[in-house]
Amino acid sequence: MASDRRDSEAEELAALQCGDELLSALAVAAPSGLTVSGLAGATGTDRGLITRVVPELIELGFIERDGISRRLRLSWTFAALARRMTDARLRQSANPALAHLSETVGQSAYLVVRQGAEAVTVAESIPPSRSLQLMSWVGRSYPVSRSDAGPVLLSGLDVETLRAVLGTEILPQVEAPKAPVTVTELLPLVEQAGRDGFCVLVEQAEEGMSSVAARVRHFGDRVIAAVVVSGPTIHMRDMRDKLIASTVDAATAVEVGLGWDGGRE
Amino acid sequence: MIERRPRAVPSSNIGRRLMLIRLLLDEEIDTGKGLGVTEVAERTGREKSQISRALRTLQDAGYVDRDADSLTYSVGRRILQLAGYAGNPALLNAAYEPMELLAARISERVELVVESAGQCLTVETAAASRTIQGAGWVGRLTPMHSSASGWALLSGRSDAELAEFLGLVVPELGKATADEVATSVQAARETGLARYDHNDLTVIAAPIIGTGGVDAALCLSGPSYRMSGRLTLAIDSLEATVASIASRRF
Repeated sequence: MASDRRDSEAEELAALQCGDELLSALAVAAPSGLTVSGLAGATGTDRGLITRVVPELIELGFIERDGISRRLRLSWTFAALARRMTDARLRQSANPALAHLSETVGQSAYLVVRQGAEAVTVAESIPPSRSLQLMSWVGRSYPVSRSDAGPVLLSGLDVETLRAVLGTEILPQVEAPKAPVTVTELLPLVEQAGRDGFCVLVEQAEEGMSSVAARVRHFGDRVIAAVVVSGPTIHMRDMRDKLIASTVDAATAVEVGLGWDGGRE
Repeated sequence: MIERRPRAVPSSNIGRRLMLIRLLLDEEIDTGKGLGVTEVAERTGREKSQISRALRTLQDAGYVDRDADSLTYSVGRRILQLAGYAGNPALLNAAYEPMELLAARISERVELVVESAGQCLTVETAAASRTIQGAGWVGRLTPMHSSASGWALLSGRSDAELAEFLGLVVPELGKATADEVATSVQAARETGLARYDHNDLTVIAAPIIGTGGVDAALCLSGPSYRMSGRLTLAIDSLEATVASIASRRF
């Protein structure tokens, strides 16, 4: 019996290694793909096995034949499934990360995404002591240029696109004397957020309030959300370094689950 | 959306492993959650001990993750790393900025569409605001024969390939419809643009040409009452966007 189990475990491992080699070879050959012979050569796998496995992997949606070259590659369906899965996971996995973050720093934490020129809060965690004072932001949208997450959410875009997304040079007004008034004033914050991966705003989104926002990327190496901690400046001032570290940690915890792997060359 | 038709259990060991991955992907898309060993065994009709062993091996390889609290399995890091190479990542990257720019300028939904198993598959979207609802369209499938994107994709086919495609759809749609498709594809070939008006929706699509031919279509769609007044601007912007994507690819 014990040897049976060992055999089937060995078999299990062999199948997985072989499958991993096939998929990895197709990843390396992306996007042009490989012929069946090319795939056999690249993996040292028996051609007969490949001709048996390929139709199954096509049926399961992981690989496809290019319509023009007829070569095999990891499929568009696979890319779309992974995108939909990470969209679902972003919302789910943010909740524990935000809860941990707001508990650690004692302030409200949010997950914010961008849709064009709008920022939308999709998840939040408000410390119990403050939950009576603050209304929920979930589902609300507001101009991205006026969001604490704005500089981070816009940091993936080049300047021409960013200007088109925001539309006008003069930004929507907000009750914060230190807020950037124009796109030109906002740009340095966006550039800084792109370099650092986070952004600290002191009274620049709302008077009396400060915030730290950190970027969340997915497997396709794109900024898709921001984790934000926001609170009264008097509470935030003395803990700047801790706030940055905790917010970046929370964002990293989320993006690891989304398959972000440190960026490709 | 991407099809969930019941599948035959694959006969190969590799196919059976990847069927488990597909099951976990679909489940998380639908419910946001993973699956326990018992549920996986039920859905695949296999022994719990087999499933448990298979999932453990997949976990060791990073293909699945196990949540220590709920004891459920979900898709792991390795699969997402591979997905980063799926389809044509260079095309997705080249299209991202121009699509955002187009969505901002025209304020309608922009989609990047490819052919997948004889259908149009949306692989990226952009929208200027939440009310236009750009998100959630990735993974959408539409028939090739009745969409502007489909005609734009078909415009890259040779006469023989187009005849073969139409031959396949004729029994289903009838000859009159097939002729209309042929006319629409021909128009897309001549002008580099496909246009589809249906009910109150106007859709325009242009082929994106890669090294081997048409490998995607860029599509702009909106309510006809908004699109009709600025169709020329929309067409010009769409064409400029396709040119911009092409210039970023190489």
